[in-house]
Amino acid sequence: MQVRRLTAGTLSVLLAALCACAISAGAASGYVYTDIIDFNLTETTHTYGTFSISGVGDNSAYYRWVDDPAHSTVISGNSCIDLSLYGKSDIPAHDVAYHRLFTGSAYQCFALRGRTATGAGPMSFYDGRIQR
Amino acid sequence: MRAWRRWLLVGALVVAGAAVSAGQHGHGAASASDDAATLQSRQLAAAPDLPAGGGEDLDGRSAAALAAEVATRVPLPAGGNFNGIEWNELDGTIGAAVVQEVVEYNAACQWYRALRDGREVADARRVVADAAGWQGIRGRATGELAAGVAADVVAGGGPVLTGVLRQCDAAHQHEVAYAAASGKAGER
Repeated sequence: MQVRRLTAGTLSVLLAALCACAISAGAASGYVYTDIIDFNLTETTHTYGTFSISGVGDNSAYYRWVDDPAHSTVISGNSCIDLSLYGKSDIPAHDVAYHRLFTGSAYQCFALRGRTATGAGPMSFYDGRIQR
Repeated sequence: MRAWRRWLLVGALVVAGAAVSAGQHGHGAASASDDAATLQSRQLAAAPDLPAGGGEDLDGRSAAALAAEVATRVPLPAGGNFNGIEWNELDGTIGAAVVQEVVEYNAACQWYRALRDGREVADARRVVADAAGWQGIRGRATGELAAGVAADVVAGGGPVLTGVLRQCDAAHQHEVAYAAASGKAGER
């Protein structure tokens, strides 16, 4: 009986530990998402705002269009400190998949910038999403 | 541009008036022992919120002019400057609010490095504690980071402080090189 109680107690501890590990692993492989509302673009690069890479993802910043983009676009991330370019991605028209802008480090701040491809004209009131 | 500058001027006058008033009544702002950096920091923290909408879109030249105005109200540690910000390389436009945010976060980074390196520690501690509330930073991504840094400093260290300092150090090297290439002095 005593052995059974110990076994049950040990099992409870083990299960709790396993759950904690699972939650921790889930958080470590997660991302933070931020909706980008009305990212109005022209052929001249426009700055939307600033964001930071989270402490739970893969130290990269990604962007996708939520609204099916009518034009090819160029989306970039620049330093919040000196505006130097960290990285950019060319996103073809009608592509709504995530594209990596750059890989940096946790809590790295960046300014989200974008434009339409040369000759494409403006693209207004399209929403996107950052994975960070 | 004119409307934005007018608003900034009004904001600066309001802040200056508030600081003088607080000093006369002996509460709210900096105490007599605080120096200019701490006073500037507290004035920025007391300044009203920027107008909603991000302000006018500016090209690199206009952004640099606005940044020069903003810089006069932002505290820096000794030897600090803003010569490493790439206004002249900026293609397209940037909102006036982001211009101010970049200048202020650049300054915050210089204070984070100063505190880590043991320079002007008393001022640095006060400025780092205030920075999340600065006019151009509060309510933005940089404000969240600055709040995290302040909390980690109080706790004696933490992931946000480590991550932000990593970016600040990398930016510092980049800025010094950029300033030198432009024939200007780099920040300390």
